[in-house]
Amino acid sequence: MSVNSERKPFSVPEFLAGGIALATVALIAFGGLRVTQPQNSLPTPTRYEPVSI
Amino acid sequence: MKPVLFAGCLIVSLPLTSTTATAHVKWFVNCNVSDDPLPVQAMFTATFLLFFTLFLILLYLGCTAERTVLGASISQLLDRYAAPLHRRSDDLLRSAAAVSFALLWADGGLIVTPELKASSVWLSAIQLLIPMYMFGRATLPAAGAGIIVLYGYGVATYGLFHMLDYPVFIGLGVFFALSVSQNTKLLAFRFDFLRWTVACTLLWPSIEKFVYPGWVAPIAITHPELTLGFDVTTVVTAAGVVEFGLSFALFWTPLVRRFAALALMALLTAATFEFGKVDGIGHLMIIAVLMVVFAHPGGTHDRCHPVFAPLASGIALAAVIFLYTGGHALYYGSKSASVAPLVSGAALLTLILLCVPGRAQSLLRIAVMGGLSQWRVSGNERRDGPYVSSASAWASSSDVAPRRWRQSASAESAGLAQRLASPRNIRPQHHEREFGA
Repeated sequence: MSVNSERKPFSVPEFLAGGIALATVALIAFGGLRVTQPQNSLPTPTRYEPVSI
Repeated sequence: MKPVLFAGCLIVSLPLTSTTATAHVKWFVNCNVSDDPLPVQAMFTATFLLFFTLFLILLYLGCTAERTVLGASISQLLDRYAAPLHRRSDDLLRSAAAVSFALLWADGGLIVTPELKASSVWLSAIQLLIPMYMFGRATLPAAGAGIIVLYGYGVATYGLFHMLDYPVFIGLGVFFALSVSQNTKLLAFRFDFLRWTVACTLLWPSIEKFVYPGWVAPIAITHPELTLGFDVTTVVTAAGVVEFGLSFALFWTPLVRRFAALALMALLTAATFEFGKVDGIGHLMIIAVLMVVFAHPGGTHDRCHPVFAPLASGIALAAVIFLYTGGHALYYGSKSASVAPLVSGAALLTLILLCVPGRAQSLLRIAVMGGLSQWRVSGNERRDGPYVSSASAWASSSDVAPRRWRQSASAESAGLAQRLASPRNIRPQHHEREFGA
């Protein structure tokens, strides 16, 4: 499947922008995970409807 | 005549009832995933067997029709009219992802789907960055990484078993990450990978209709008009078979998967009218991927004998049921109880990959050969002729392998053929047919 019209190599500014964007995501994820540890918040069934079928 | 009429009515009407199922159950009903699933023997009721047999017959007929002149004409017609959409597949996925993640950011309390609740500033920041990164090609890998981070947070919060409902987000992450590649094979592969993950996303929850019929039943009861007068048990079973069948068809040959994608789009869109914005927003990304699958012309190379279709789908159903129950036991029950179903499921999946010729088989073979070569490098000095030949055959014939692999593999094959005394030690170098999945 070749549906890509823009396949030219990146210019230096584009390459830099991509690198900064990737670094931003990595930093936010790393910082966020350090600050807020994920809690195991499995939804407890507050309204589980027993149905006989 | 009467049985034929009855079967015809069933085929037409039962898919309509599966609107009940295509509304993702966990978004509307509190489902306790740690509940024990139904035992396997309880799933195989007469109703289930009837519907599944109907599905197998339809799948076989569909695959047979694809190989006829009529099938070829329909394919050409679809190619012509879907070409504008096909050319803009990248744009469609980027815009759908941008809208989808912007809506998640606007909600502020979700990770990637309506039932995955979490509220953090950093999650919102990533959800906001993803749509922004969709504008430029250079930032697409960052958007892909963001999607995978959100999925990973979902795994950390809700557990891997729960998140197995949504492998499409892994597919999207990989798709956008590979979008900047210059390699045409990789660019083509990302579409296949995305299709496989969306098929798994729909296929895995379809098993819930068989092992947890009580989850869907409240929806069928509160929306009686969707049952078309059938009883709830029949509707839930039919919904499971339709959902499984259409999801499985997404793995199959071009025309079959295009019609499956079309049917799934229709069902998911119809479910939105009944279940509202939550369902529509939650399924937005899946519908966009299905549009891309529908627009993709496939190729003449990935055809497979029709008899493989019902055979593989029957084995796949058993395999997924085993993997689901085994995974559930591993996650919520005893590890010892999970071994047998997990091994059975894995064995059945391997059997499908071994039996059905094509790209999936090639990938399995290269994985096995990769393991064997590592073992050989780490101490075994004797080169095993047939295995080397087989790996080379994959690399030289597969359209997944990069060109330089194919060149070196061809050279290796030529050298090996000279060294080997007996011709029966050499495996065939080409697959006769190539399977699309």
